[in-house]
Amino acid sequence: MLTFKVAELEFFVEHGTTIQQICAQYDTPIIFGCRAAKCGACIVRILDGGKNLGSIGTCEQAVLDILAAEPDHRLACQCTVLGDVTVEVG
Amino acid sequence: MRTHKEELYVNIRPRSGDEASIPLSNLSSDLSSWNYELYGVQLIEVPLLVLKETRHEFDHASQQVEFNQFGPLESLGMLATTQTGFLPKHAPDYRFPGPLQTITDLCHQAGAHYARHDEAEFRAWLTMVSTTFATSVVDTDEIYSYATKLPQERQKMLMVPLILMSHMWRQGSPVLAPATGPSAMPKPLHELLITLSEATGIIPRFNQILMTMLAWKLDGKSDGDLLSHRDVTSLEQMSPYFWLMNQNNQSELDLNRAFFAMEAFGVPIYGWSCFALECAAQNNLKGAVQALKMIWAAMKNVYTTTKTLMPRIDADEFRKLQVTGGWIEDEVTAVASGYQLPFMLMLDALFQVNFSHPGVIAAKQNNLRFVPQHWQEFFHMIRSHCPSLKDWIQEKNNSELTEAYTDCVQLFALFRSMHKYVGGQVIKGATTTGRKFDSPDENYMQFMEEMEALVNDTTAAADFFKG
Repeated sequence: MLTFKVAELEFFVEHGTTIQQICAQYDTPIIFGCRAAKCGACIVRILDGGKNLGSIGTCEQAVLDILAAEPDHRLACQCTVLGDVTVEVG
Repeated sequence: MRTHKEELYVNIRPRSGDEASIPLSNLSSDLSSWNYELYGVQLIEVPLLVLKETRHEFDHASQQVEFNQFGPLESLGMLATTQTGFLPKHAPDYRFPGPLQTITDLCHQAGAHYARHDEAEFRAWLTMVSTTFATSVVDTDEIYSYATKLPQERQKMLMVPLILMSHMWRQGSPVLAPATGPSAMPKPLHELLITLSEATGIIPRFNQILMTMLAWKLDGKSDGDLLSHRDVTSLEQMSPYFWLMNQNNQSELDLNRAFFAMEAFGVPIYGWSCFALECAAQNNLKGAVQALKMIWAAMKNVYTTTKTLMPRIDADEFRKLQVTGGWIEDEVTAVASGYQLPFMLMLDALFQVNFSHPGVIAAKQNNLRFVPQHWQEFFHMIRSHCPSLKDWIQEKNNSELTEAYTDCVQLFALFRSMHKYVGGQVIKGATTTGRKFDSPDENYMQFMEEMEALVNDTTAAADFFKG
């Protein structure tokens, strides 16, 4: 099992679970909008384990660029948990 | 067109309470270290271009101003202030002379009665208190006499509680289906509202100008207190006002706060947008790049605060507001629509966003009826400014300038996309969003379709630069 942490909350999840799946099941402070990298509502800052979230796609990168996001930011809707990860709402 | 010739000044850290102004020529474009936190999210402290404090209280009906003669910055100074933009310079003041004070008190009480969701009880109560009010004065003409002697700005303010009560009376209970057909509050409240409407030229219906611009209160600020930019961006200081309270006094507050955030954090946009246009007229590339970077930073704050606040809105309370304020007689009114907000009008005008969807065009036209005439004329001047920002930037063919412009347009489009998806979750389940639909699904689909068109139209404002 892997660990996904956000805002003092800790979840133990299977490898390959998406953050969307976690947030659909539990109440977290992450806000979702389009869930398709079109609106940026779900932006999070990676505090630890950034490399465990899969690669950044073209659409996600475009939104992060528009928001001038720092390199440690991701769109939660595009992230899959592949190792232990800690994030906060961006 | 006239442009500003004197040296301009900038208030560099308005959030920190630092009132010191520096010449614009000394301002750095680097905003990276000017961060602060609100609701747990990082925001940027955006410097304010100092406007000449010449804000006028225009006579809504009769006074004509040719804003073209004055140019963007000077015109803006007539309508807005450095610290609060188009929001009032002073905290909204609902203290009125003589028997008129009773109107405010009644509205506060009406909100509590209305929240009981008992149509018959509410109407019986309002009838009773209206009668008591009428008999408390020597004759009802005394009330009209007090009202007609008020300055026009105060008359507009007095309309706020009357309009709120009028909608509550009409709907009876916020949990019923939207009421249609004619309805008038008991005398003398209805007559007073009509008298004021005729005197001010303001349509006596619920609207955004009323809700966002006038019906709010800040903890620590008394009615009529002078406000700073720090005050209006201290959203955590907002407290519930007037109506549609739930048991926790929160839902209406969060709705109000979300709309208010756009205006409050949008304040820097006005000065920098006007400066950008004047830079275009003066062929000042460096100034225009700086202005666009500041506009971008302010828009980022608007994006972040709106995204954070919108999910806090209670969807049920939102629907009650739409149902209550959305209809009068058989005609739709505007309610919680951002099309009336100066922040939105400014960005659409500056970037010359052209609307393509018939529903959006109709909604915008409907909403503009509630926007003060002088504001409309000002934004028309911004939109038709010659040269337009877009044309001038295309002509300059400068990569830094083009990038700064495109960054702003893309962020504006992303804001609308975020509003579409996050706002869509709030309106799901409603049968009215300024229009009445047979089913919540129909309402939701129409909202999503129109918002998608709006996103595309906004994105197209920078298509000019592709290839």
